[in-house]
Amino acid sequence: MPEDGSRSASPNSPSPHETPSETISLAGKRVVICEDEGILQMQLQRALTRAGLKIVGTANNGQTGVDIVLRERPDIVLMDIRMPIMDGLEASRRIFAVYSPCLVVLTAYADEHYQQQAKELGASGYIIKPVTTDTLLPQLREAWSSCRSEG
Amino acid sequence: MKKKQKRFSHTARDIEEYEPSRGGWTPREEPRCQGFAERKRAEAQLTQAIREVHHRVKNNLQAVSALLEMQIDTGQEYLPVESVRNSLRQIKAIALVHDLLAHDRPIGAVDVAQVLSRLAGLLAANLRMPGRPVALCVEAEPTWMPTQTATSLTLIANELISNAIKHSMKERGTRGRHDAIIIRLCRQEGERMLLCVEDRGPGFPAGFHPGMHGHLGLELVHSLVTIDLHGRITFANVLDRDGECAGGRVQVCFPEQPLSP
Repeated sequence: MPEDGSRSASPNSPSPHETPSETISLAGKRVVICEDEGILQMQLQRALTRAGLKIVGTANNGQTGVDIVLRERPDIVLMDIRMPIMDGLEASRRIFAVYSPCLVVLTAYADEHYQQQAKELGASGYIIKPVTTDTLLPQLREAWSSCRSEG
Repeated sequence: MKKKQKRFSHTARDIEEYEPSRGGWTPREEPRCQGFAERKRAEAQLTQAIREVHHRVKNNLQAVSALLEMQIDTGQEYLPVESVRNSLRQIKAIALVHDLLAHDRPIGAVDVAQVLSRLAGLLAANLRMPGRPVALCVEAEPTWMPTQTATSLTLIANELISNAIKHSMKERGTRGRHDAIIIRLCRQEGERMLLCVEDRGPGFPAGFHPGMHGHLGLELVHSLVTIDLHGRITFANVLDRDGECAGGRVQVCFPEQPLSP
């Protein structure tokens, strides 16, 4: 028997403790990552690809992020706040002015006013760094679930 | 001669002074007002600087977390000790930047020449094999860079120098200064910087690309060069007089980042 009991659970038989979002599959969803730290961008790409998502673009500043997102129209956008040229909140504002993807803010800023701003803009999730795959994927599923129910 | 009264409270009278000979509370002279404004400005700058440091620390913790996770996610059930040592070297490299940041001036900038020199010493001690001395030669003038740029460059140098040492010892063993690994940092035209690491190992196969062999370290270097430094990386072989491969040379070229005022 595996040491970690959760590993033995079948993905098709969710435990009674799971919330509905835990059963949602993100496989095949198209994603754009806007993040100016190389290490984190690489970690996100590897983790999301391993989970079956398709990375259709990456950007290391807000302006490029807007251009790629509006061109690719992904299902999910991961958006850092502090980036050169254009910050992530302004980039999000410009994206939402055109269409509404499931946009999740991923930042080191834990301040309440940033979270409030992101929410008012229409972000479906707000993830505070540092992030690991274990916490990232459930939060993304939750954001996707919330985005779908609103949309 | 009457002395001025001391004030004990910080109220709206902060910019006033009690002067009995002038009939009580009077506005401070102009230089005092300027001093107050300057102090407030300095406090605001300090608050901003502390905020920046916290943000930097948090981002570096995120970087450490990501480096460890990528090491774990290589699909192996048990991590080889060498992978853990590799992670430790990466964490030490980040710590090296912070160490110099704490002692150096100007605030928020690091002399990368010093970082490279210390990093080379650290890696030579860490990776040497019994009976095989490692000779490293660092050629760099003092070069101040913003912390984030310095951290990325240090992680890049850490991977490249580690690889150079491993390949040099595995293939030939270093035989003295002529076979030394050379680490060079210099300015180029158009406000660009060049980091070059040259070894006497087996060199690179034709058409080599950092992502082609699933080498996590070189993949990391590629990400740091292109995303963090907005630069480019080239891999080439060093040829001897007979046109034979005499080692490998990696060059990282990137735009110089301005220091914060």
